[in-house]
Amino acid sequence: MKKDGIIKALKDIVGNDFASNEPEHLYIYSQDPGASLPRPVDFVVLPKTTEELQEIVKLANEEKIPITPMGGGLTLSGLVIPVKGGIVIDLKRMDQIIEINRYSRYALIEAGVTTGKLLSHLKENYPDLEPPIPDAPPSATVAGNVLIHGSGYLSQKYGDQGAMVNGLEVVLPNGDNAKLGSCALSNYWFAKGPIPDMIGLFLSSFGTMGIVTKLSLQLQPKPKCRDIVFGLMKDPNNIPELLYQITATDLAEDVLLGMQDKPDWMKGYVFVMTYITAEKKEDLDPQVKLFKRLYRKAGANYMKAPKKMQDLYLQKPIFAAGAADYRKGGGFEYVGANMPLEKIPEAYIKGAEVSRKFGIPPTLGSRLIGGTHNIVMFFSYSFNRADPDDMENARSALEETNKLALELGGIPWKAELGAQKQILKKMDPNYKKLFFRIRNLLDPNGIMNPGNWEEV
Amino acid sequence: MSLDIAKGILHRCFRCGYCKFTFDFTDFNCPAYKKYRFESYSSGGKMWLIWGLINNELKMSENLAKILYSCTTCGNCVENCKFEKFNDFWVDIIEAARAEAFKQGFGLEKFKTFGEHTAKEHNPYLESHQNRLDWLPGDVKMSDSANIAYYVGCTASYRQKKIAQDTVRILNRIGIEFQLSPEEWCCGSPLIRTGQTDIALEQAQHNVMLFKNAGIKTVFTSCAGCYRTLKEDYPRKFELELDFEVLHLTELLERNIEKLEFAKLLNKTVTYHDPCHLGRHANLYDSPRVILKKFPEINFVEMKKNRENSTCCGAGGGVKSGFSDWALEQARDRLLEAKEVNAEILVSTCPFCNRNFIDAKNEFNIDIDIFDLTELLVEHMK
Ligand SMILES: Cc1cc2nc3c(=O)[nH]c(=O)nc-3n(C[C@H](O)[C@H](O)[C@H](O)COP(=O)(O)OP(=O)(O)OC[C@H]3O[C@@H](n4cnc5c(N)ncnc54)[C@H](O)[C@@H]3O)c2cc1C
Repeated sequence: MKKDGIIKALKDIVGNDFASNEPEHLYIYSQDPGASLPRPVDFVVLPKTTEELQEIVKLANEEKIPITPMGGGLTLSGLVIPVKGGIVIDLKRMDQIIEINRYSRYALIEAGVTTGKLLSHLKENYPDLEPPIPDAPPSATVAGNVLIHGSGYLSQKYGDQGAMVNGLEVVLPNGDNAKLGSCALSNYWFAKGPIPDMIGLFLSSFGTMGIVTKLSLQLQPKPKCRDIVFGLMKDPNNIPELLYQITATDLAEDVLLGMQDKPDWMKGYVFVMTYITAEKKEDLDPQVKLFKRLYRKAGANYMKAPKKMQDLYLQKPIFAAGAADYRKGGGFEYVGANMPLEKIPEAYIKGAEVSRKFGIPPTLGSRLIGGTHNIVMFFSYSFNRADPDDMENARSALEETNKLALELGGIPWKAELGAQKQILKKMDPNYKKLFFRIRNLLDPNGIMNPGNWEEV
Repeated sequence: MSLDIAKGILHRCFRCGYCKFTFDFTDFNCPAYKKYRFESYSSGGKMWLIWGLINNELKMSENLAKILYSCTTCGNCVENCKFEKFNDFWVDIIEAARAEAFKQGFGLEKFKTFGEHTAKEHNPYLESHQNRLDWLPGDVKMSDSANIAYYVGCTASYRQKKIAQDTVRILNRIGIEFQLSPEEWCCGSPLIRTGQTDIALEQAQHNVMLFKNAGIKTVFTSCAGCYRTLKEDYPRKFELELDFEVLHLTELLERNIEKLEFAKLLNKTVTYHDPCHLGRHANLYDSPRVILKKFPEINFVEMKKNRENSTCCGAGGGVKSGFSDWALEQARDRLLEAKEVNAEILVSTCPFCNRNFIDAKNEFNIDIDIFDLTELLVEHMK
């Protein structure tokens, strides 16, 4: 079918107002806020229902047109910019919160529900529950975050967002619609199994296996009070022991670390921030005392966080997008890398070296995931969007950092195309073979976000 | 602001999307994004399109002009963008891009028509300038020696005449002396919002001279759009020096609050709609509420989205004339928000919001009474 025929067919499915191949829309969907170069898009479509989405996927499959699912488009790694053109499917019109199950503590939502919407819905209607959301802007979708193994303020306690999925409804590359998890045989989306677990296939596969239309996500009890215990340490080598001791208390909700040059008093230190929670304010005090002692023993110094900082870090979500304005350049991208805890000191030391090499002030951070089982490290590079050379410089820094993360035994997270290639190169060949076989079985025409997770 | 100046800051838009929401993320509050849902229609999307235009990655086109004009300039993005010293400029940048659309021949036909008419007859309603004061009742007292002037504006002069009539009656009742001039011209707001700044500047210069020559020290207006334009755009955009302070009628009344005496009870549930040009654009939220709460027996309720979070009525930024059905849909949604809190009366302080609400009430048959605050005051004051 020619382009005219395809746009007509898409409009027939979703209505005239929600499909386009006009240059202005294609321009916007061919880029993301990260450092990736734009890549061309042929069509943009915004379905409202699962049925519409199934029709779009069937059309793409018949016509062998690549499709790229998109939520908020905020990974910064260019994951929603098609590699081989085709159709971007913006899912944010599928935005219904279908059910909040208070006793089984889960939210059943459509794929386009934003983290902002779920957060505010719970705040208003279920004030004793909280959703696992990232510090990404509230326009990120819950699904987009879950599907990349995102993490947030609840991850230290409960594991990453992927661990909190109870079930998915997925449109497969042939247009079929499959339910995964307890919802495959029960009206209750309360658990992953016990049946053969296929949910994992759809996580961090970047839309190459299917398009999620609904998901059930665990909610957690919301504490009445929350505070942060702030500390500074000079020597990054103290980090593993400090985090080991913090998590042993079983009192930390979230633990963030960071290293940055601004404000001046932070330069040369790694900061640690332990979030503590309680039912009553006065119950926080003994915890603060305990962590003060613990910090001292592990080589960090307690410090009362300045009010401005406290306000910033107690927000949900934290306004992390401010990093884009760090040099008033409107852009930043980071390598996120999941790492073993013992490699974190080296990650800070070598990460700062990479930053300096590329002339970018070091901005490093990390967040614990599931106790000390996993820690996600952020190597962040701000750039000036108006300066193509500066953006190229950031891309080079990202590439080198991905290499560093892999060398240290970590795995780049929400990996951009370059990092995906580096990961595949290092991956056990039989894992790779299995992955490609399953993918080809599901998507013989190669329409699902092609170019991602591909070696050539 | 010109697009050249915008070029220096536009790249700071990260397209994080805070601009789409209310403060607490309960709802999308950018009217264009809520309606069209393409990223390109969000405020951040528009910023990136304008960036593309400046850098010759995009050309001005009918579709681009449509996207740029599909913005009520409500200022929700200004409130919610967190990037300081950039967030103030969202509306200015949109208006600069609209001026460019006009320059390149992509201004909407309806806008051109009212622009050309305003150049000649000083109002966008295709009315004759000499009829500007037709609304004025014969029994109203005015004083040529007063140093306070009532700037009526085009909507109250030609369409929502009752607002103008009630305004002058209220002033007569509380004994504030004022003058008004048959020579006032359009404030320029509809022209600025749609990118026709040259004609707007002529109107502005004329008005400033008019008040200067009459020795006016205070200009007040009953229109939120005129207020924003006189108070913000004249000095900031046009760099005109004002020898007078600009007040909204509600500020003037709040200063004279002890003189407001009521004869009738208002035992109804009443809510207040913040006009964008008064609220988000000029930070004036309290005066209308202070006055409303003076009504005896009033049951004043707030809508869920109020003050900085207010939903736009849908009429501003040229949307009522350029996208009339959509303007009505937005007003309908706002009226339904008022119904949600059981309001029997919705009050506003802007003739343009008022017009749009009345049109939506009639179009969609919504059972709620709509008043400008002036009307309600005249009915209930001694
Ligand atoms: C300032 C900032 C702070 C951030 N902080 C965090 C943080 O604290 N924690 C964190 O985890 N992340 C963070 N991120 C990264 C990212 O923004 C989030 O993970 C975000 O939630 C991704 O969601 P999205 O809706 O934007 O996903 P998208 O970018 O739209 O999509 C992500 C991937 O999933 C695919 N996809 C999307 N929807 C579907 C679907 N329905 N079916 C199949 N595939 C789909 C896309 O093709 C893409 O490959 C941050 C980003 C920014 C800009």
